[in-house]
Amino acid sequence: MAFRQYTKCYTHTAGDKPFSKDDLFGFVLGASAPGLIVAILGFLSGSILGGVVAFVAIAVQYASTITAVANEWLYHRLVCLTGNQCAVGKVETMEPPSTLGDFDNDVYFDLRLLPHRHGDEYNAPNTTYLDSPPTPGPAIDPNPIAAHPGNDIFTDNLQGAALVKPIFAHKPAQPIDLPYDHVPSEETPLKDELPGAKISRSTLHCEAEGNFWQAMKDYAALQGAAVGAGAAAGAAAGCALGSFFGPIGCLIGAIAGGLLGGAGAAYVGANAAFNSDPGNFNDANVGDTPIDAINKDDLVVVFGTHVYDGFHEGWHEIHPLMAILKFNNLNIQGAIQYLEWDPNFPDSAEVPAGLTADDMRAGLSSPAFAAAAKKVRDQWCAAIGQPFAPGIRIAQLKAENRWTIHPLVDGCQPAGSPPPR
Amino acid sequence: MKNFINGLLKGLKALLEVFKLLPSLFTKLIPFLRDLLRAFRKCFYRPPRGTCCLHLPGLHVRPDPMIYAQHWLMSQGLAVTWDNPDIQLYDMLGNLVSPSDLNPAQDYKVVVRCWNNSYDAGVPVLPVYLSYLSFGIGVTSIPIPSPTIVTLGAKATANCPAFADFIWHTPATPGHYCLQALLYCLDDANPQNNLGQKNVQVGKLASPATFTLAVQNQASVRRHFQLEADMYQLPALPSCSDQPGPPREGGRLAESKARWRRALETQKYGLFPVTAAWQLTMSLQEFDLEPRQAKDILISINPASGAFAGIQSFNIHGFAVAGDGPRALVGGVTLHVQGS
Repeated sequence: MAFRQYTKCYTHTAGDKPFSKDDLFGFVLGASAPGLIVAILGFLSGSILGGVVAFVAIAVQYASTITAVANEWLYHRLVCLTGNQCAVGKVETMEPPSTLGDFDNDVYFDLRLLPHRHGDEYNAPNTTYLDSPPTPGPAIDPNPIAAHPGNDIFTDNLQGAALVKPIFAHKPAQPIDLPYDHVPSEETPLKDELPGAKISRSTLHCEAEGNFWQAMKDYAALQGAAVGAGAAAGAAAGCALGSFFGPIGCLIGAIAGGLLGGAGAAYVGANAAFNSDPGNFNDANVGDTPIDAINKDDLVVVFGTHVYDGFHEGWHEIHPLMAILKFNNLNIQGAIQYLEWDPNFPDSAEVPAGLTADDMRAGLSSPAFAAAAKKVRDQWCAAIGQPFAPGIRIAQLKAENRWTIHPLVDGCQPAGSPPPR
Repeated sequence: MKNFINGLLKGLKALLEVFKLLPSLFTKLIPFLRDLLRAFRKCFYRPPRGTCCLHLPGLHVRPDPMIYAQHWLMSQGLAVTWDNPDIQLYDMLGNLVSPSDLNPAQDYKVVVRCWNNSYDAGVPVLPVYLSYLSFGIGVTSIPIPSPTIVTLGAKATANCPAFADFIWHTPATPGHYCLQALLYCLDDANPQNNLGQKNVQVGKLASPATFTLAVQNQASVRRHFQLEADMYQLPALPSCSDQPGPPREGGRLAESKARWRRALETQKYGLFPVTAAWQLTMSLQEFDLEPRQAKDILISINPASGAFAGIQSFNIHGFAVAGDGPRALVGGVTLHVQGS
């Protein structure tokens, strides 16, 4: 297993606000201010030494700003929630638009949690789960939920309540550090159904980490040097070209050239970071077939860290994704591999073992269905989560567990134990 | 303003980090230039968002349910035994019974041991199918009804190996039968190591040194059959303390390749010929069969010295060639000769 993790979630304390998209401009401006001031003063001095100082300041400042933003992105964006968790569901959408320009090589998708239908998802802001007692939110298909309120996502007593329901929310809303501003539908699976709408996120966002911001940080000094040199070279070239129009032309050319040179170097440096190679790994055994792609509507179980992502409008997600396992829903002797409630379940349809058609129509409002759904969740969570349990990785490294052909062909006999016959 | 001040403070803090990073101007220069070259080669192209599907190597974990699978092992060049160690027979009281000494028309408990060659994923619902071949090599498979479902954990977890129990009512007709166990899993890392075979003898043999083996051509074309014998047995396992550690580089694949290489050095098919101490004769060793045609082969095994004590196993492997096609393993049996 070789998941990549560059971020670290942190434990939130009152008064602290995680790195947010809305705060980005002010933060970058503040982080860049000292170098900018030095550079401007250097240029205003009109001396060669002042110019040199200015370009050095630009270089150093660019490196420190990149480092500051990378630190925020990596270590002050994700608030730890409930530790490592698993979730079972159906892949609903993959890779919605990136949120930090296109310079983010994370890979992500949204998971509709078992046993919910697409119609259970919210099509508007939901705050009714904070009522006392809680009531169902604004589902796309509200009538079945009204008849069987146990299927409301935030109050389902299963995965929706545990993983997606806002933990830090209050009613009435308070000015808090960890807000849940309603999400533009464009960042959810409902982007085509409800263009332009603001909704409560009711699917679980899962993110596999790319190394872009780690590489930006690693290369910060080099990028700073490149930006400083690029700006200086651009300014020199601009001045040379503009000097045909006299000193004013040189000045204008130098400013334009400096900006272009610095921006160009920054763009090239960021591309190097984007294309950096985090290293290859291969966990396969001889004979393993190529790994299939994950597609929309695939049934999967995921394992990763449950966090609040403060960079967006505020939502819960799995980040980083540590493992994903695909499975099917074959009915083999009634063994249930996946459940989805169906308020229109026909009497004539085959029901999973231990359930009735009424259970299938009631969904999580039926105790039998709820128990079956929990069992399905638990069985898949064990399948993917067991290797992460304490001690298992150590046991797997023992010589008696390193066989690859068969324990009786290339295995070994532990001291004091009989062979595995 | 709050964000500005926050940025200012953290920017100053980052400035100290940058000074510490100054030596990286030299150490990171070559990787930076390499990555830059990669970006240039791609013409600064970045993959588009919103594609059809995700490829998640390193994260996408798969189970690899498996048993001792002769066809897979031999396809990789290893010698095999048809006395499958992962398929065991017990009487209804739970006593282990010899597969070469079963009574006709009697219930036996068959236990199939399932392994998982994946460190990363288990299989909560793993159907195991058991069937038997009516006789010999390459003949019809008769299912033993209803698959057994087991939960198989990842390697080195509590549910690995898992055991699937069956009740098999042996046929009334005495003879050689081959039990086949098949594990079914959708997203299986290696679906080729899921079928294992064990041959059993129902009824007493007239002579323990003489066997009749039926071979049938199940293909729809005429095929040329070749029978080969060897004396391969599962090796005595070395002590784990003598085992070399996994290679430091290359990950699991490099380790897996190294283990296969070592196994092929000592257990390659062809390294275990019938020794001069034995006389093994077959009434036919190469022959052609039309589609669905069957032929009985008489096999006689005797010690060259005339006397023998103990048990010696012999594997008979059947291969078939259709036209100019490749030689394919079609089945086999392991015969146990018991001396006085």
